[in-house]
Amino acid sequence: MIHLLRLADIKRLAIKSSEVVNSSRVNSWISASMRHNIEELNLSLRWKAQPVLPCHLFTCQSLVALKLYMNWSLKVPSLTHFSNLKTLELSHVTFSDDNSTQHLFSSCPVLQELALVKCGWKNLKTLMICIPTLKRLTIEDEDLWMQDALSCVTKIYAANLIHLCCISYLVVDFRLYDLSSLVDASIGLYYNPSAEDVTPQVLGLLSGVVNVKKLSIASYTLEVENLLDRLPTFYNLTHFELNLEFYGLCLGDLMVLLEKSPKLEFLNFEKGFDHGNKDGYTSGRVPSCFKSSLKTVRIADFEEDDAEMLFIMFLLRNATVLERGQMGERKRQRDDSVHPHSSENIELSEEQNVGEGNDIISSLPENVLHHILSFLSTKDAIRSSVLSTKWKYLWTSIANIDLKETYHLAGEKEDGSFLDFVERVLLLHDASDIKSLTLSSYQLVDSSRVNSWISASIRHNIKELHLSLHWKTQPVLPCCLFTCQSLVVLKLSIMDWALKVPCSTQFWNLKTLELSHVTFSDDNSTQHLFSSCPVLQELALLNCGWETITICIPSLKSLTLMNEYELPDVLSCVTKIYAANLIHLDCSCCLIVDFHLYDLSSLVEASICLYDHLPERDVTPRVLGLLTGISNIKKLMITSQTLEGFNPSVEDFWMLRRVPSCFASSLKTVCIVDFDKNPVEMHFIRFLLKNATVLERLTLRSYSQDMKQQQQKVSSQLNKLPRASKSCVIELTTT
Amino acid sequence: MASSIENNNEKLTLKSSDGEEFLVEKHVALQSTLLQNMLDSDCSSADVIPLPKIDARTLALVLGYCKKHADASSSKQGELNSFDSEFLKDMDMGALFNLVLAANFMEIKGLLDIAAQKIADTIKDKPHQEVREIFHVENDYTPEEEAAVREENRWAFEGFP
Repeated sequence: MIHLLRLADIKRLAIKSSEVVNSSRVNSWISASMRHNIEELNLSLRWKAQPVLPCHLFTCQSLVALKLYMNWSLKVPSLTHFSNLKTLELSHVTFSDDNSTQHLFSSCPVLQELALVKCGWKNLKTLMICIPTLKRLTIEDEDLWMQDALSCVTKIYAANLIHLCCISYLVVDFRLYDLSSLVDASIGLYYNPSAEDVTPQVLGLLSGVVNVKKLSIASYTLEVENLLDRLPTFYNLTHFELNLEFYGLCLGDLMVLLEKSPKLEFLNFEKGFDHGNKDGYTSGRVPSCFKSSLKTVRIADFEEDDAEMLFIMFLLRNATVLERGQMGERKRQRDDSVHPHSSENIELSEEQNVGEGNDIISSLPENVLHHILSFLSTKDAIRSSVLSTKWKYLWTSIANIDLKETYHLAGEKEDGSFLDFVERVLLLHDASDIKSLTLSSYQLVDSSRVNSWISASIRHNIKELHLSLHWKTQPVLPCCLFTCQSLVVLKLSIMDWALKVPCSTQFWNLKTLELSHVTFSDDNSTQHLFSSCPVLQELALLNCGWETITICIPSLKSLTLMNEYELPDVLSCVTKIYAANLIHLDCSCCLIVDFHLYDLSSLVEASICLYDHLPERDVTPRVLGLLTGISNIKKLMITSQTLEGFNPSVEDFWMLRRVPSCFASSLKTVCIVDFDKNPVEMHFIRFLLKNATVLERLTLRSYSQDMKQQQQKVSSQLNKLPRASKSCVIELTTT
Repeated sequence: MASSIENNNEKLTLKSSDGEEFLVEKHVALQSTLLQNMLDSDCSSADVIPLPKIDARTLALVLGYCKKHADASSSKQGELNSFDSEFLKDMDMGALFNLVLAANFMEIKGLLDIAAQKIADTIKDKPHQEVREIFHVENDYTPEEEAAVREENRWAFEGFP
């Protein structure tokens, strides 16, 4: 076709083909086009071999724009001079060395636009773009990371550059010099999250474009660690755009970013917010541009999700010079009468949001605010004090006070401030009752100080008191505690000090008593304590020390005894229990405790875990004694360790000749947890299935991975075992 | 007891602040301690009872809650619990605040509890700056005063910015 054109000039020639061509053929086309004074040449071809483009192309005077797409290296002849070339675009071109690229650029004296799209830079150590005439520079190489990830330093000297677009993978290290004319920049830097710190590179590039008026940036670029706070201030920036979904940053980060743009007028979320971004503000800072310059905010693809609404609320409240809010919805139409908006932009003005912008919560009646605070933890409630002056002392009404000291590492200094704080909270409490008070501290405290707290709580009709403190010396608790009428629950942990019980003790309404790490000096004092609790229902003694204790509490329903340690010099803690109404018994003790149970006729369930640190001791009588005492219960949970005292020989286990009578009359459900199909288990299961005639359900729970994989197989195996009960269901669950 | 069964079909009229009238069965209205006291003191169920603080939208919600709780038998506690949790789900803050005010005014303890709990859940574990944003609380502390309040209550701010 070119040959047919005899006379007229060819202004523009674009050839795009996916066929493989050879150099000579393409060269003939190029030569022909040049004879016709070609101005714009656009070749997108697949060369068969390394192309050697005709020399006269590189000295062509008519050429104004050259666009080349070739998957080969660009050979630049030494005699190159594009005297009129204003636009050069190279795609997928490989550069052979640093010198050839510098030679190419320096041969373009009037070049205004340069685009390097997905070019191969692997042979380059430094790409020097020193083009004083350049006005627009585009570098796109997002595929580069696929290649050998060598770092290439790109130095850009372009005093007249106006537009910069940089979409790059961060193996490229950009150094920008003298971009004083730059007006707008579009930046998207990819990086490998596992790679080393890229903050300096991102910071370097962004610092180089600090004078721009318009900045469009992909938000992931800003997700680089420790970047935001170190960003320079963009004093000239008036237009700012996030050109990918605003996702990985929280709104607080956005505020930090906006704070760096004091003259911002237009803020654009080009792709909206990502739906998943639910983060709120981590900072209450209002960027200064909100008050002085920000006039328009646009959110494309507005979906009205939490993050967007939070941002809009924040914006409307704080942006005093805002003129337009454009919320564009692209994808969906919806019928929403409250927030009507269409695919067209809608305008939001502050007047439309009156009511939403008011401080509604602070205007609630005080009793409602107290009620709301009552549903918060003590920490959250006290933190509300900083919201505004109205809230400063609202929390002092909270009925449940739970103050636990944060554990300090050994090196940290304990300054006693926590104890002062406890005092402050109790002193400030308003006239209302304190329902529960929990105090837990690792610091050594004085008796007198604790006693003032206890007295204060009693003045507020305390119902539940929970103290876990380290007394400096033997505590003498105030008498008023031991006669407190309001107290229903008392939990004390006094770090192995003795509990001194005054003679006047009378806990009129105490239903729950839990004592941990308390030493009982003698049996009389404990008997006195227990007999002073006429309605006590729950008693727990956790890691307490005694030689003889008599628990005679007719009202008691639940008793928990836990002793993890042996006491030095004590061989036996005689424990006598009289509790005719006891329903639940939980014993988890070392066998130093010698139980004597009397009249537990009401007992329904027991959980027994006895163990012995000294195996040579014969403890069988003790275990037998306890089990005999609870022989009429309905539910028993027992650790096999407890039964080891009986030492059944392995042979006995394997023989299993006798069939227990419950197998034939009552046993309906058997559950084996942590089933791993070992021979003993299988032997027992065979025996059970063969003999248990009324069995309804056998549940096996397994935690082993193997079992999970062959669950089906094992299930069918189990189902094939002969069984006496036809209706029995075997259930195997794996987790 | 007998009289309350007899009166089961009795209805009374409630009027919202924006003038809308609601006809309510008496046993539903009795969920409100305020209405209960009014009826006890002066049994004027024929009259229209004005509720000047509650708009029609809120009152409709309140009465929906009361009806569910009045009609459900005590054995269906589980059903009521799931109704309660669904009731406030997705409700915007404005509606929730109207509801909490209405429950407080009409003295409907169950409704007041779940609405207050819902507001508390919004505050829970959040830094105070965020709570201020959510509820538009105007911070009238000077920076020095705010720092002082934080310092006085330092324990509560451990782990918060």
